[in-house]
Amino acid sequence: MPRSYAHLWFIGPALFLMVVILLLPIILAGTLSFTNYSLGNPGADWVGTGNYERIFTRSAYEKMFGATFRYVFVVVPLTVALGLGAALLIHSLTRFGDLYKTIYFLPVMAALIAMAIVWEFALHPTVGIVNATLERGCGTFLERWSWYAQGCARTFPLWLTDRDYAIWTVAFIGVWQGFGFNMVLYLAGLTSIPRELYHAAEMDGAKSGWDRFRLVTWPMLGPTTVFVVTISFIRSFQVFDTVEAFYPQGGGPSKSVYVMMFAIYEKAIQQNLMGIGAAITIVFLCFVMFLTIIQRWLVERRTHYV
Amino acid sequence: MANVELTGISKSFGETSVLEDVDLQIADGEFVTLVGPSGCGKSTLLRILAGLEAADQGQVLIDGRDVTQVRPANRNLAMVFQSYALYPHLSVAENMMTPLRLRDLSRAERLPLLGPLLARSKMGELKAQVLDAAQTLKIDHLLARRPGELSGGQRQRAALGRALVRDPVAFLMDEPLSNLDAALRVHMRAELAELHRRLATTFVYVTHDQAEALTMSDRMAVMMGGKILQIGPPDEIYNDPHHLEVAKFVGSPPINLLPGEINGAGTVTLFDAPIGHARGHNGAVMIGLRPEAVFLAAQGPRGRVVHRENLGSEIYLHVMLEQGAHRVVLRTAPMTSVALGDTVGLSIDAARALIFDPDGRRLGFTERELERIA
Repeated sequence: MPRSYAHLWFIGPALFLMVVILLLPIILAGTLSFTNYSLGNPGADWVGTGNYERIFTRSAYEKMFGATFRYVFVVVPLTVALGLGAALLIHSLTRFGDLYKTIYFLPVMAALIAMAIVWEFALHPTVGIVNATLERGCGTFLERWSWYAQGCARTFPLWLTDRDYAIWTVAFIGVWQGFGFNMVLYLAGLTSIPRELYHAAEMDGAKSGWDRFRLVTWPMLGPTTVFVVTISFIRSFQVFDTVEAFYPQGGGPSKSVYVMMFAIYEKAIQQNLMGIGAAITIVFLCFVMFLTIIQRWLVERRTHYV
Repeated sequence: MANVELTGISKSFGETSVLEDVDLQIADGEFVTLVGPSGCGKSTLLRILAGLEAADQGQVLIDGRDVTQVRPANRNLAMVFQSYALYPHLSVAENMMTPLRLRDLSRAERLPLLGPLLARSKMGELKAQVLDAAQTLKIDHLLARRPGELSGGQRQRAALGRALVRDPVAFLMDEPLSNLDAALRVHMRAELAELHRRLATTFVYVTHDQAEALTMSDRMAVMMGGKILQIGPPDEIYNDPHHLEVAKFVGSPPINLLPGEINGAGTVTLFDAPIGHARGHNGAVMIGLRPEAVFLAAQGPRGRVVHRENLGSEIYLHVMLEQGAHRVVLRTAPMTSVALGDTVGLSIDAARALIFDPDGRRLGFTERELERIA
């Protein structure tokens, strides 16, 4: 049989595209991260691991990691839990399910820049609806809560510009914006659970909703959960547009909202420090790769039963 | 162990009526099969008995107690599902343990880490129960595996084990053998019947396969169009069907149906030969003849052998009659010399002929002609 090269033609186009638009840029970024290259410069000096040393020693980058991880570890658990909760509630409805689905999914579809402007108004310290509402509670039993009493005595927090609150406020908006997406994924997962399993659970004596959830729903949603958690992690590592919309001048009050994506943008684009920008990108890529590998491992090990 | 009683059960899904005023009494320790074509309401009836479906009307009584409003978990019934419905994330042992855990352990004792400490001796007992049931079903070597790692037959046993492990008042089975291959199905029929004899518990078994109903049950209920047409021991259903539909449904190969007539004097004729006398109807009737009630003969209606089915222990001949082009299936001994294409004569055993009026109701003979009619 003559040797055939047809297989090269089959994989060729895909391979070519993957190399050109995925692998090559990553290799380029990896190379750049060891230089002090700037856009427009004729050449660049090799700085070795200098950029990485800076990332892991300078306090500005320490703040970057702090802000990123604070954001991620608030947003991921909350969006997953709220997404699951909303999906369970909607799934149990016989009517108006579609209405609630639409309501919860709206923030996902809305342009985040526009939403950021709305939130900026809502959270405005003096004219914003949030603090105005809180002030109405002054003089009631709510004042027994010392934090609330303090707010009434002086002012309620400057949600977006107080460095103690800024990152949590941004995380809250991230949760508000993101959980509808997880809800849709969980709804798809819920509809694929065979009804006979619930009947079997009932016959076996699972009387409470919690028993059914533990015995059937949660294990059967395993593959969905792994996917939802991974995608939530990646999405929250990628947070950028809210930060850029709220704090275009860089990272929020004392850089407390200086998340990774914004750092890459600020260093590489605004300050034209390609080398350090590429280094942060590579670190970011490592995080995402790590998460993806964990996901693969979990999917293969734990959640596929067939 | 319990007797089960369903009275006046009606159920409809939207516009379609699935069950119409069904009554069914099942004695303690009885093996009752609900059999019928798909869509006849047999599964729905079983699910109403289980409590998984609510009847529109009627009552469900278990041991004389009205359980119509009692939730399934509190009826103490065990069910085997067609799809087995095993929990895919749990091992066979854990699957079998689940009904015991949920029923015999308190909420605190079921807690993940604390529970086993609180209920160490109880857990030991439950594990012994699981092992016991597994040994009965010969699946003790599979206890550590997950359902995904089992073959169809093994999964079926695991599902059976989950039902068997506790002591329910009755076992409900919804076509448990229909996903198995033919050989295994025949084997499991015998095993289920044996299991029933050993446990002496009430079994309610749903199937669309009349062979399963005939081979296993003490009594079988033939259902069609949301009604029980006839209920009785398999022998009675086979030999003495009260309705044309029952006669057609039960038996393989199916019963032969030939057009006959009852004249004014009450004489029943088949192919113009009198076979007996009957009352209650004048005019055209259907005469049903089982394959074993038709014989090869020198005289009688003639026909050509168009198909020959050799089952080893017996041969079924399909004969196309010259008169009226009816196809008749008859059973003969295995060594018969009749070949495909031969022309043969037929005789019938009039004593085993069944007469049905045009509405499908069975008519009785008042007297019969000679044992065999040429």
